[in-house]
Amino acid sequence: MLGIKKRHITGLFSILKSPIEAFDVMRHQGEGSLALATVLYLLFFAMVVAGRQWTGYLFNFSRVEHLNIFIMMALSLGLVFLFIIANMAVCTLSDGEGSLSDVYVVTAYATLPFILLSPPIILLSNVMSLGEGTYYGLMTIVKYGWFAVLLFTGNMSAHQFTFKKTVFTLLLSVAGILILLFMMFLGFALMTQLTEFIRTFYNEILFI
Amino acid sequence: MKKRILPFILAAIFIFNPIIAAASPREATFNSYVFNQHGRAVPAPASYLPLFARSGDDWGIGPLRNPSDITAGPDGYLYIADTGNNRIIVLDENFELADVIDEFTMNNAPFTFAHISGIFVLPDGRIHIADQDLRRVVTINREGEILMYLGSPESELLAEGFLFTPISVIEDPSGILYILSRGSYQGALMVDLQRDNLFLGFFGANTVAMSAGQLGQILWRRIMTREQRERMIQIIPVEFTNFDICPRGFIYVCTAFSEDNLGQLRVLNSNGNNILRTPQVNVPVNYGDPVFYTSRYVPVTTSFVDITYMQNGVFAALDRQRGRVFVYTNDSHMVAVFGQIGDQLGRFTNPVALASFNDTIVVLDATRGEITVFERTEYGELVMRALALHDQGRYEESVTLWRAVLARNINLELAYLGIGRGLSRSGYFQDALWYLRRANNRQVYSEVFEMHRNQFTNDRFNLLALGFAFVCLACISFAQRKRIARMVKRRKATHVGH
Repeated sequence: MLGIKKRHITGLFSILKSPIEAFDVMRHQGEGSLALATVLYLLFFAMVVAGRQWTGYLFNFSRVEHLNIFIMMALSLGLVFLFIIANMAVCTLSDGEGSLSDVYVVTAYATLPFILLSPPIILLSNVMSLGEGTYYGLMTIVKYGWFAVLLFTGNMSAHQFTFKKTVFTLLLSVAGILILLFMMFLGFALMTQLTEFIRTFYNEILFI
Repeated sequence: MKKRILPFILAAIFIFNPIIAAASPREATFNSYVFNQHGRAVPAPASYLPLFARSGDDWGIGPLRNPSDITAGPDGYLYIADTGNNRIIVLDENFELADVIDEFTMNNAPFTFAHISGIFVLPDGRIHIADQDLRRVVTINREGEILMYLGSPESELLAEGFLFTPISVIEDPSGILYILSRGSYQGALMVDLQRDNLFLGFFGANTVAMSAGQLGQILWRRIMTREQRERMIQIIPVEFTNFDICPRGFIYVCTAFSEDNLGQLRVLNSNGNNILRTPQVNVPVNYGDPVFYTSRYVPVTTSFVDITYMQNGVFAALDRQRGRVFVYTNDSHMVAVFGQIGDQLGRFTNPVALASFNDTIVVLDATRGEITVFERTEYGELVMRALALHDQGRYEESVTLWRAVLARNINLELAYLGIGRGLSRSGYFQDALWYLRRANNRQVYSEVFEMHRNQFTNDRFNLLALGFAFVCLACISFAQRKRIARMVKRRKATHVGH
C-alpha cells in the first residue's frame, strides 16, 4: 500500500531497539519510505491532538472545549517542518550529506516513540490520581526524551556527522527556526503594508 | 394610529420608571460578580444591598468631619471615630445614637485628641484609640477618662529616626497590643500590656516579592562600594494598611499595594504566619479585582484600606480605589462583592473603613461623613448559611443549601465544591466528581477520584481479575502461537495415525 513494504515497517521498528545502527542501515540500503514518513507525521499530529483533548482532567490544563485545530497543527507539524527546513539549511552549509527527503524521513521516524507511548499515557492519565502524578510526569519525560534522542541520532546518521557537530548544527537549527519565524512575521507585516498601500492608491485614483 | 400611541407609551415609561423603581424595596447600584476559573468576572446576584445611609445630621449631632474608623464593639454597639470633631460616636443595634464620647479627662484635667485614626473596643468597655498626631495610643473608658497614655516604645529593635505614628490598634485575648504605625514596613509593633508595656518586637511584616528587577539589583549591589550601596534605595517589604482580630485570636491583615498584586489579604496566627488557604495549594491569589491598565498603561490596582472579620471564617475587605467591598472565605474564595464609587445609595466618595455589625456590613465614607448600611439578600443569606455548615465540616447537610445557591448563581465555584464534598461524603463519588470538576479544585477532585477508583475496582473485582487473567492467557498464547500450532499439528498427526 502506498509503496510501503514490509521491510520498511520492520526497519522502522528496529529503530526502537538500536537507533544508531538502524538509521545507518536505513540510510545505506535506502529503506526509508516517504509515504511511511507522511503517515507517521499524520499519526504524530493525531497523538498531539488526542493528548490535548483526552488526557485526564487531573493532568489536563488546556481548555478542552476550545480547540483550534489549525493552531494545534501550527504548534506540532508546523514546528516540525520548520525544524526540517532550518536543519536542512544549516546542514547544507556545514557539509551535511543528507538530502531533504532524508531529513524528512528521519524526523518522521523519530516521532515513533511519541506515537507509541502517547495512547498508554493518555489512558493511564485517566485512571491516575494526583498522588501518582510523579509516574505520569516520568512517562511524559520518557516520551519526549526518547523522541529527542531519536531526533538526534537520526539527524547524526542522515548527515553523517560526528556527535559534536550534530549538537552544534541542532543548536543552529533552533536559531534557524527563530530566524524563519522572524522572516515570516516580517513578510506578513510587509504584505499587509503593501496591500494597504495598493488599497489607498486605488482609492486615491478612484477620486481623481 | 400606531404612530401616535408610541410616543405616549414611551413618555409613560419614562415618567413612571422612577416610580416603578422606587416601588421595589431595594436596588443594587453596583455590579455584582464572581470570578470564574479563567479569572473572568461573570455576573452574580447581589449578596448585599444598601439599606440606608446615615450621617451626623440624622442623629442630631451635626455633620461628621473626616471620620476615620468604624468598629463593632463586643458589647453590641457600633463605634465611629469622628476625627475632625474629636469625638467618638456610639450607635445601638438600630443605628440610632446611643452615646457621644466627646469630653475626655486625664487626671481630672480636660484633654483633647489631635487626630484619632483608629479605635478598638474591648469587652470590658475600654476603648483603645490610636492618635497619629499625638503619636500616642490612648485607652479611655466609656466616660472619657484616660486610663493609659502610651508613647513610642523604647527599644534597640527600632531603627534610628523611627517615628511612632499609630494609625490602627488591636488587642488580642492575651493582652498583647498590636499597634500599626504608618510607614513601618517591619510590621505592627507588639506591646505586652501585662508586662509593664514591654515591647515584644514586630509582627506580621509583608515579605518582599522577588522580581527579576530586584534580583538584578541584588547582584548589582554585590559589586558596588559601600558608599554607593548606602545611597541606593533599599528593598523593603510594603507596609500593611489595616488589621482586625477575630474572636479566636487570628489577625486579619490587608495591604493596599503589593508589587506582584498577590496575597494582599492575610490571616496571621500568633507567630505571624499566614494561615489563609488558597483554592489551589501553594498558588498565591490576587485578591480584589485584577489589575486594569488604562489607555496610557497606568495600572489601576486594588487598594485595600480596611478589613473586618465577619463570621464562619468569612471576612470582608474594602477597596478604596473602586469603592468595593470584597467578601472572602477562609479558603480565599470570593463569595460577594458590592459597592462602587459614585453618588447613589450604595456608592461611596471616599470609603475609609468598614465594620461587620450584626449580619450587616457598615461602610464609613470620610468625605461625606456618613455610614452606609448593607444588608444581606436572600441569596447572600443562603451562601452564608451554606458556608457556616461548610466551615464546620458538615458537608452532607450543606448540599441542599448549595443547590439552592447554585439555582441562583450557576457561576459560583464554591457551591460546586460544597456539593462535591457533600456528595463524596455520602458516597456518591461519580456525581461528586462531576461537581468537583466544575469547582476546578484538582486537589479535592483527586482525593475523591481515588475513592471512586477504589470503589469501582472493589465492586468489580471478580470481573476485573477474570479479564486480567484472560488477557494474560491471550498474550501468552499469542507469543507461543508457533509452539501451539506445532502441538496441534502433532496431535492431529497422531489421530490420523490411529
